[in-house]
Amino acid sequence: MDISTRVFIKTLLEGDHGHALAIVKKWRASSSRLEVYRDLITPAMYDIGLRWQHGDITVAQEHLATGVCDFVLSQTEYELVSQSKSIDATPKAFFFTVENEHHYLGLKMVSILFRERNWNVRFLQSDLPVREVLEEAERWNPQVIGLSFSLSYRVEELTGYLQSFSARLQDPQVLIGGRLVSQYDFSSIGSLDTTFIEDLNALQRWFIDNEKIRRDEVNGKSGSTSII
Amino acid sequence: MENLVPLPSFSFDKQLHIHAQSEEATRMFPVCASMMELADEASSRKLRRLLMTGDVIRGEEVNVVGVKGERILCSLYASWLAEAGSAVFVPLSSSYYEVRDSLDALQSRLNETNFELYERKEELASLVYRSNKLSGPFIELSEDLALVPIFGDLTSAKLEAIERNVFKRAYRAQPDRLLVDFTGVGDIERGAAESMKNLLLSFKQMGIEPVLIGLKPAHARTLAPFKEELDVQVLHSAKTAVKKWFLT
Ligand code: B12
Repeated sequence: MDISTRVFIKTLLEGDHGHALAIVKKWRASSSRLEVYRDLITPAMYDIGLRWQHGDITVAQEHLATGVCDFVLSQTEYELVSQSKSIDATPKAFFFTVENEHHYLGLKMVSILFRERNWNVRFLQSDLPVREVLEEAERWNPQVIGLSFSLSYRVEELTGYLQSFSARLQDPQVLIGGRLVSQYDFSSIGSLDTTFIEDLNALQRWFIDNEKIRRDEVNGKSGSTSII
Repeated sequence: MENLVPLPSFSFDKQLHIHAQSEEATRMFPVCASMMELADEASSRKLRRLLMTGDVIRGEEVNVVGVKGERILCSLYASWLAEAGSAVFVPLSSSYYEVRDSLDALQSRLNETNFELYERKEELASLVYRSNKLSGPFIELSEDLALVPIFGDLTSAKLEAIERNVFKRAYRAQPDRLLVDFTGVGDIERGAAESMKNLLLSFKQMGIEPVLIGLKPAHARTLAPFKEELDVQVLHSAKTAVKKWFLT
């Protein structure tokens, strides 16, 4: 079976769920989830965006491809569902898409990778106004809040979300990803502890740093020394 | 004429400066000096390419910035007459969005199905079928005599699996007699007795005389209701049967 990105893109555009899933499974036999997302699925979606720019495909086809892509992503998550956490297990990570932002594939990948790393994850994938997101975040009190930024013309709204977080929430770490993060200036967002993450390699580094800090904190508190 | 058609249309020059536009254009898009300002930033290269080729454009998709800053997906139609370009943006029809929304709803239901589990179930089902099928092999003892020993508890599903194979083989071999050996059978499930009856009657129809061997008292009791209708020979053991038909 040909499991190249080229064939995968073809299955996405043809709406061939079964074939797309088969390719992802073949990849999973020898690659981590992160690798599959980074090296197969993300490049495939970017390529589909380019094809639209070249006029080779329509938005309707892009939409179909998105559907298949979302489906295979969900399937890569199922093996993790059995290890679902109780509602208060820590560390907690809260992901949401900002109102009217329908680009969520990237954020979904990220939320799955957090779950894979044993985080207690919530992913609100509906159009939520900032007020409701804030209420939910205040109630649940997550250590990490993650959101995605794909539409250049919504940058002000995004800044609005961040300012409200800064004003209302305790001290969550805020992670912002998406294809545009490197291109905008978010210096007006206040004292928020914010990290901009360009791609999955950067996320990988963040995981490693974060886990180290957590270990150090635990060791510091208990006064014991690390075995690792 | 132009203003009567409720579509945003523009005329422009080689530098893509706009010279005139329809009323609908003014209603839908902010006033712009250049065609390039109309496009969403991630569509502007595409729009420039399309307009600058000089070809006739029939329905290429472009995201256009609406009066409220929203992005409107439009099909572009454009052509040039000497130095004068004209273009019409046709917004995607509402039916597209309706179909899209129902597709999304369908999609999210599909996403909730765990295909991993589903596939395992299917795999398991085919495994059970296979094992059922192997629980009743068809063995030709001679030209006239065949044996079907059955293993394990007798269920309708198992009989069904055995049946397909055994019918095919029996049809080809056409023995006079078929020994159905119950020595290896444990329990007979309720519905299975009826299936067994049908199986045996089918052999009769094919001109093959079924003979039951190795029946335990419990088996006999379960099959008792069909005894009259069936009217089949019952022998104690394979040994007796073989002596009777095979060695003579
Ligand atoms: C697929 C797609 C869609 C899909 C959405 C799919 C979905 N459910 O997510 C559909 C068809 C619905 C869609 C709709 C639209 N789209 Co669109 N879409 C795309 C496309 C082709 C690919 C996006 C994608 O899925 N990429 C794959 C993901 C995995 O990549 P990613 O988001 O960058 O994420 C990675 C990293 O950035 C990072 N990451 C992302 N988020 C986060 C978050 C955290 C916390 C972390 C740590 C990391 C992280 O991790 C990911 C893993 O690699 C892009 C083209 C492009 N070049 O991006 C256009 C694009 C983004 N869309 C665009 C537009 C204009 C639209 C529409 C307005 C079109 C219209 N007129 O209707 C609508 C808007 C809908 C809305 N209100 O949101 C423009 C944006 C223009 C702009 N000015 O910004 C683009 C650039 C296309 C274009 N050239 O015009 N779109």
